[in-house]
Amino acid sequence: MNKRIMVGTVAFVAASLALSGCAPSSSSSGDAGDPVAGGTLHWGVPAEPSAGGLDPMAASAVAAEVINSVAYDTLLAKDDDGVVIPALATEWSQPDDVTWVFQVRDDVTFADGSPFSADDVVYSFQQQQAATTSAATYLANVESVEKTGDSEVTFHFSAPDGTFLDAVSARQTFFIVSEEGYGAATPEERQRTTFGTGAFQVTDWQDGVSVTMEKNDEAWQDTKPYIDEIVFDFIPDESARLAALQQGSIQAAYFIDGSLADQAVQAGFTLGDVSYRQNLAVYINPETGPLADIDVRRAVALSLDRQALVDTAMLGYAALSFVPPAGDPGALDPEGLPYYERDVDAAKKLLADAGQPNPTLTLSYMGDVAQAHHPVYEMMQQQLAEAGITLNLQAKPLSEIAPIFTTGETWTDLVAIPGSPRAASLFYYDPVLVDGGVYNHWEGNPEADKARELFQQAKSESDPAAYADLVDQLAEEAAEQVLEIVPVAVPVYFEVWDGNKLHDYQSDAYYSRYRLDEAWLSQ
Amino acid sequence: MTRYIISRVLSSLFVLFVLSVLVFSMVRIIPGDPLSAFADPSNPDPAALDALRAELGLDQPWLTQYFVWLMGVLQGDFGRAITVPSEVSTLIAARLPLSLTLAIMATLFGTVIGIPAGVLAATRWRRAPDNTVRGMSFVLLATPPFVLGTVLILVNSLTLRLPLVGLAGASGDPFKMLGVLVLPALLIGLVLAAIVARYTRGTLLDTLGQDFVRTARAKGASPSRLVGRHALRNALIPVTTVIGIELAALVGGTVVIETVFALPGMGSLLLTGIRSSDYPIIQATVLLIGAVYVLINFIVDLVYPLIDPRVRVHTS
Amino acid sequence: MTVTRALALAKVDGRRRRNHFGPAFWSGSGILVGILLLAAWVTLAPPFDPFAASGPALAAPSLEHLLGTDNLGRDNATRLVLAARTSLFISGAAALLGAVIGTVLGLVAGYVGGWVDAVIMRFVDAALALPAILVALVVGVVIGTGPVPLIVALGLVFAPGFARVMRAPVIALRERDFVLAATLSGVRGHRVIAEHLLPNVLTPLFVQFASVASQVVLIEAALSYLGQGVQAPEPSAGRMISEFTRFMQVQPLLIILPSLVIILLSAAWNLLADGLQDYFAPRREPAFSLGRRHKRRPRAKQHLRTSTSNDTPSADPSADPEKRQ
Repeated sequence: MNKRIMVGTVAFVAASLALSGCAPSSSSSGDAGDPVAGGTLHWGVPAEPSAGGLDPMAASAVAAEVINSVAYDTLLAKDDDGVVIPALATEWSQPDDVTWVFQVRDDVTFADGSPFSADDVVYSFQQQQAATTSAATYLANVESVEKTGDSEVTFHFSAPDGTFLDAVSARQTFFIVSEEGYGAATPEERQRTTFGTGAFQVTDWQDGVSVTMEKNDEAWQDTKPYIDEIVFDFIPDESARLAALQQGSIQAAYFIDGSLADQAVQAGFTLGDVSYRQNLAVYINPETGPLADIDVRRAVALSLDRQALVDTAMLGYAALSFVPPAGDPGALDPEGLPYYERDVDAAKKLLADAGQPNPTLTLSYMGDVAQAHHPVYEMMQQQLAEAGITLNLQAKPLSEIAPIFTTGETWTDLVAIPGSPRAASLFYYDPVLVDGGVYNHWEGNPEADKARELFQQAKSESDPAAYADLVDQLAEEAAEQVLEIVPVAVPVYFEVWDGNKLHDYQSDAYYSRYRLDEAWLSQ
Repeated sequence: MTRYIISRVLSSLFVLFVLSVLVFSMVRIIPGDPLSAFADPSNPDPAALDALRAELGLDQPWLTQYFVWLMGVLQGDFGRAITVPSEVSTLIAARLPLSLTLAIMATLFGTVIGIPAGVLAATRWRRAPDNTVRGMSFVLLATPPFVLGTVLILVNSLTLRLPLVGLAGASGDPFKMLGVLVLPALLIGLVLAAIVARYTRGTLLDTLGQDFVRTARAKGASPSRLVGRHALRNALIPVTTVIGIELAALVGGTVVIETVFALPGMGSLLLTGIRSSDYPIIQATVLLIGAVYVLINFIVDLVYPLIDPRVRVHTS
Repeated sequence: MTVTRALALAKVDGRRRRNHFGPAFWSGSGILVGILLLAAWVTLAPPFDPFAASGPALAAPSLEHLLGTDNLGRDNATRLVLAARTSLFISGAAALLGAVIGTVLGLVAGYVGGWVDAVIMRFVDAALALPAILVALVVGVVIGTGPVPLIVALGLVFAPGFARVMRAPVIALRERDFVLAATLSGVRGHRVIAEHLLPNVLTPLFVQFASVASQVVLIEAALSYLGQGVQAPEPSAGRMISEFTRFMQVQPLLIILPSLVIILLSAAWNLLADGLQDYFAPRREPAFSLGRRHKRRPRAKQHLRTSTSNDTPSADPSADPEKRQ
């Protein structure tokens, strides 16, 4: 018996070694010639849209956003440098601190054939205001939205708002739906199909298998889309998705795990530009335990070697970051922030001053999802140990962590929750600083007073430069008081595709995939 | 016989009732919140979630929820999924066929490989073929199919690049679907083959050790005739039971291989349900998988007396 | 029926009966003892801290790190032995828990009979109607993840199987003279169960125990693979496989070694189960065996007690559905 196992092992090892020695076939993209129309693009995604389905007024999951941002357009957009550019609106102006006026296009039709007008814009924003999604929070200061001309929409605010332009130009936030189509649809239809002006519209959704989008012949952009059909295939397991890409049954995919994206690159696939817009945020409960003492919090922050976390735990597929995350246009260089650079001796001294040379802390994180992030927490444990801090890791299933962000359940010491991109920089602080925020255990705590003040100031600052400055000051203050700890930032996902088949595609820094409009497939 | 069938039906129904209670109460104890999928972790809104909770009836007492659910189930309505915009019955209709096909294919592989291997081993007791079959079945029994699957997929990705993973492009085409299912079914089938081979070998050896076989052998009956005509038939009767039970256990019991091969079956539906605490999905999948098991067992119980004349059904 | 057969055989050649364990038993217990010794060494005097980096990441085997290091530079050998220890502990403890609960249920059901038997067995049927991994998944979600909840979950999962295996021989024994005599002479029910029934059903109990432990190893590995079992940073072979698949092309050892740990452990329990079965209930030699005889194994024609055969765990196959993922 033992001998047989041994023989099997040797053969197995030999086969694996032989394989790993083989150089993967590499492909060169280069000049692929002129675009041709037609073809079906298969795109591997980890999950199907969950709660709320595709309904832009109800869905908030990334899985829905990546589809909706292809099917729907927004009033404004941003280019890769963060400059606001026209989309469905051609001109925008701010006559006074509490009014925004938009001129919208008059030559656009929805995919269902109905004409696009200012009425649809008013309808869409009114729906968003009444909706339950987080997008509604961006509109908290909006008093009314009204049609003020055939192609003119005016927003009235109750107070000056510095975040509005950012929010309205985010490519996956305020989708404009057809009042005629969406308004008449049943909730079921709203969740399973789309009513937009975008280049592709959802035509079919097979549960657990795929979502199919077909080319919109009414698309308003100058160049019509080339690809006939895009099929988003659901492949939950990351390794299985890579295998599907390598075996050629999908032409593009996205990965949470950078090392898998790297393997795809090794095998000759093209990796899109990454932008680090997701913080692996660690939220603090300072109400009880050692973290009530600001010196202990500072010691924790000082013990972390964030560069090592990026290089070793994430194998280089992450970035140094604070709030807002590194890829956000409002992010500042974190390396100058207080208590950011590692200093174990200083950490030990702070702990000694606090009278707690060896505190024990608990860090909860989601054990059954995003395994690529787990090494970060394991390495944090090692790094804190060097400063004399014992970090107990508690891997809990997502379903057990979820009540923290659904019902505002509390947690012990620290909890790690990967964030999601926000439309405006300031909103990354919302759940920590606003009363009733689910990660807000700072209510009544004087150490957060200054941060709250800065937050309110920034929120009502309508001058972009002053707003950006206030966001930076807020980051300084949050780092100074250690209101939140950010080990690293990661991309929301890594986009990888077969450069021999899919041409003229490029990732978008805001994860909207709008360049599918211009992409084409080799026939 | 009629009374036997009626009592079997009644006890099967009771088992299903117990199962529904177990499943329902178990799901409620899970600490998760099915509404978490509606919340955006960066900026949630608890008040809106409370309204949603009321709308979905999740604020009702458990007993009320149970009866509402049970009445629906009896009418074939498993309710709406909470975290996926679909009826649970639609979700299951999309996945049950795949799971059944996978289970049946695996059982076929297991039987076709396992029984001959078992017969070979038993008739060549303590000879090289016997030792080989026993050794192989030990290794296969101890090897999780997902390990083999992971390695095979990786090797394929680097070499042949056959379409092994996922249903991409295969849905709607029955032949391609079967093609996609061959490898996962084979991997599960190999483990099953090991079980079947061990049972077949064991029961056949028992039979071959009995006095009537010795007598026949002494009288000069050829081994092949002995095995083919007499021993095998007796030996295979318990084996059919084992195969039936394994088939039943495979429906939904293939979670891991479904994950590895990206197949949307009942197992992965349940896993999705568990991860998002989607009560209706968990309840429906567990109950249905249990029902399939009970049904197959019921059939095996009914068929057993027919194929084994020695079994007399007692109608006491 | 296994027991009745064993008893019958023992009666036939009881005088000549010598205790003799076969190679299956020795290799199975050998592996388990080996793992225990390694585990003891790593627990008492670990060569490396299993939770801290002790070398460069993803290093190949060297004299210092015999099996290389993982993605965080931790020593693979140390972590693998710990993973084997965890797996061994969980499989043994879960099988023990299942055996205790299941045996009590089975003995009570079989001995008392009537409606008690009916109710217990319907619950057993309901529990058996689900693939073990699904029950473990659901139970695990209820009581949390980690070694102890896993033991409780898997113990509950396998208790019904034990109940069935125990019940059948008890029913057969219940009517036998020595039990009837004890009952008639006024011995109380629980004493009859403990003193007369239990000792006589130990054979299927031991065999079932080892066979369940082997299945627990596989299910624990599968659950950990799915992220629902043993949690980081505690080493676990199943989680290593899912975590390190991404390094397969860089360092294939990272996935081969944990696979071997699982296979070895599961095979060891299985061998033990087979060896015990052979020891307690040897099979009669078949009437013939085709094929060439092994010259180097003259013992093959010796008496049947050295048999390494007999794979029928029990005559009631439904009692032991080998539950798989």
